[in-house]
Amino acid sequence: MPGFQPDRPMPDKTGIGLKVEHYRDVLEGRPDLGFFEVHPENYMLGGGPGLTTLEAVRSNYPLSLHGVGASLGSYDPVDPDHLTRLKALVDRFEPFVVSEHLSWSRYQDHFLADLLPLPLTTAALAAMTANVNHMQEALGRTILVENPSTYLEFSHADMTEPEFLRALVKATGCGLLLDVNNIHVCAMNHGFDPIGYLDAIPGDAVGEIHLAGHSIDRYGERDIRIDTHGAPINDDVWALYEQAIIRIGPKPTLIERDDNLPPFADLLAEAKQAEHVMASLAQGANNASVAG
Amino acid sequence: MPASPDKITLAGIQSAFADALSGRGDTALAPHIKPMPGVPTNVQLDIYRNNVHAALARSTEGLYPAVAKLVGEEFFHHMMRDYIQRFPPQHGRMVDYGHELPDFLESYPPVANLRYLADVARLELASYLAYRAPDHTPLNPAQLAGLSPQEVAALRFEFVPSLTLLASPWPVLDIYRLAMAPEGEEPPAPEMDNNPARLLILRSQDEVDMIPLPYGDFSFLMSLQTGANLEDAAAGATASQSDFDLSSTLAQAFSAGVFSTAR
Repeated sequence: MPGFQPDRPMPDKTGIGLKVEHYRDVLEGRPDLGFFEVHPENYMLGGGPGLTTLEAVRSNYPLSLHGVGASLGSYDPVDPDHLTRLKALVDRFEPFVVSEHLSWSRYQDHFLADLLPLPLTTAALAAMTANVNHMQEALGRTILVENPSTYLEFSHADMTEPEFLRALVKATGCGLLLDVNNIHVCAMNHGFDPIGYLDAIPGDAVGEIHLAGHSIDRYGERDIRIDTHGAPINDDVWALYEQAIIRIGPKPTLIERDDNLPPFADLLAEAKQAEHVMASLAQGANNASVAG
Repeated sequence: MPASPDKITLAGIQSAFADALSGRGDTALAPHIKPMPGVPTNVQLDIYRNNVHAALARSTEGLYPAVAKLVGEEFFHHMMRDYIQRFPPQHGRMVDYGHELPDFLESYPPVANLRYLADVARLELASYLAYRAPDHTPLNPAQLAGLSPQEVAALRFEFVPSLTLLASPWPVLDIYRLAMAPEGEEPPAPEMDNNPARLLILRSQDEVDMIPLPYGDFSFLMSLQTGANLEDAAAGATASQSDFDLSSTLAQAFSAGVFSTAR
C-alpha cells in the first residue's frame, strides 16, 4: 500500500495551536516554528479582525486547518453548509493540511458538542468512508483523520481502532493524524498496550502528530484519563512520542493547548523539545545505519 | 446463528447517545457499552455530558463575559443547563451558538430581579456580531456632492453590516463597563433610575465602538434604518428633540462610518 501522499509540502519543524491570546506573540515575536494550526470552525465568520489576523499569520507560516465540527463518523452525511464554509477557508488560506477526527458529533439535527466515540463496526466504517470520500471530493484534496480520546467502548465492535484506521486509509486514501496523547489516554482507560497500537497502525499513512496534556480523574479505586488540552505534556506522552518517531520517522508535530493557557514561551519550549526528540532520534538512526 | 442481542445499527447507537447526552436517559445506550472495570456506565457517560456542557457553557460565557461577571461564573454555568435544554445546538459552529441568550434571560425567573441583564446581553451580542460582521467600506460623503437639495432630502441609506442600534431603559453601557473593569479600577455605580441608554454599536477598523447617542440622533438613525428618507427622518428627530442638528448629526454619522450606501 502506498503511504499517504501530502498534497502540499509538509513543514519539517513543529507547530503550535494558534490561540487568540497569543496573536501578539506570534505576529510581533515571529517565533521560529514550522507551522500554526487552527480549528476552521472558529474562523467561519463574515469578516473582521479574526480573519485578517489569520491572514497575517498565514503570510509568515504554513497553516493547518484542524476541524472539529464535520462529524465524519455520523450515520448522516456531512452537513453541506459546513463543507461550503470549510471549502471557502481552504481556498482562502491554502493550508498545507486539512484534518478531522475519527468521531461523530451530529445525529439528525442534534449537534452534540464533543468528539464522540464510534462503534468500531463495518457499518461505522462504511459511513465514515462515505463521509471522508465526500469531504475529500468537496475539498479536492486528501485529509488526515485523527484518533480521538475515548472514555467508553462498544461491546459490538468488530475491529480494533488500528484495524479500523487501516481499513479507512485503504478505502479513502486519507492520511492519519496520530495523536500520541489520545493513544496514551485510551490505552490507560481501556487497558491496551500503546506500543502495540503504534505497531498496528499504518505508519506510512501518518501525515502529522499531535501532542497535548491530559488530566487524571479519580473514580473509586481507579483513574480515568481525560483529554483536556489543559496541562503540559507529561513524561508518559513524551516517551510514547519517542516510540512513535522511532517507528514512523519525523513528522510535523503540533503542540495542542486549549485550556489553562500558559505564556506562549512555555508552548514554544514544548515545540522545541519535540524538535529535539526528532533530531536526536534521526541522529541515532543515522549512526545506527552507519554502524550497521 | 441467532442474532446477537448487541446488534444495533449505527443510527440506533447515535440516536441513543443523543438521548443520553440530552437528558432523555441512558437505557437505550447502556446495554451496548463494554463494561469498564470499576467504573459504572453512567460515570463514563457523565464524562461526555460534562464535556458537552463545558464546551457550550464556556463558548457562551466567552460571548457574554459581562453577564457572567454580573451573575457569577458558577451561576452562569448552572443557568446554561437550562439554556442548553431550551436551545440545543444544531450545528458545529460554536461561534454561532448562544445568540438566544438575551431573550432567554428576559423570561428566566432566577434573574427576574436583574431587570437590566437581558439588555446587557443584547449589548454584548451586538458587539460580538459587530466584531465578526462582513468587512465593508463606509460611504464617503464626497460621493453625495453635487446632489440638489431635493435629491439630498429624498436620500435613503443602508447601514454597514456591523451596525446595531440598541435602546434600553437601563444604563447598560455603564453597567457593562462596571462589570468589565479590572478589580480595584471600577467606575462609580451608575444611576439606575431614569437613565436609559441609546447606543450605536459598530466596528470601525479593528475595534468595536459603543457610542451613546442623544435621543434625537438615535431616533433619526432608527428612522433611516427602517427606510425613511433623510427629510422625514430629520423631521421626526426634530419633533422628538427640539435642538436636533441635522448637519452635525450627519457629519458624526459619516465619521463613525454608519452608512454603506445611499440612493
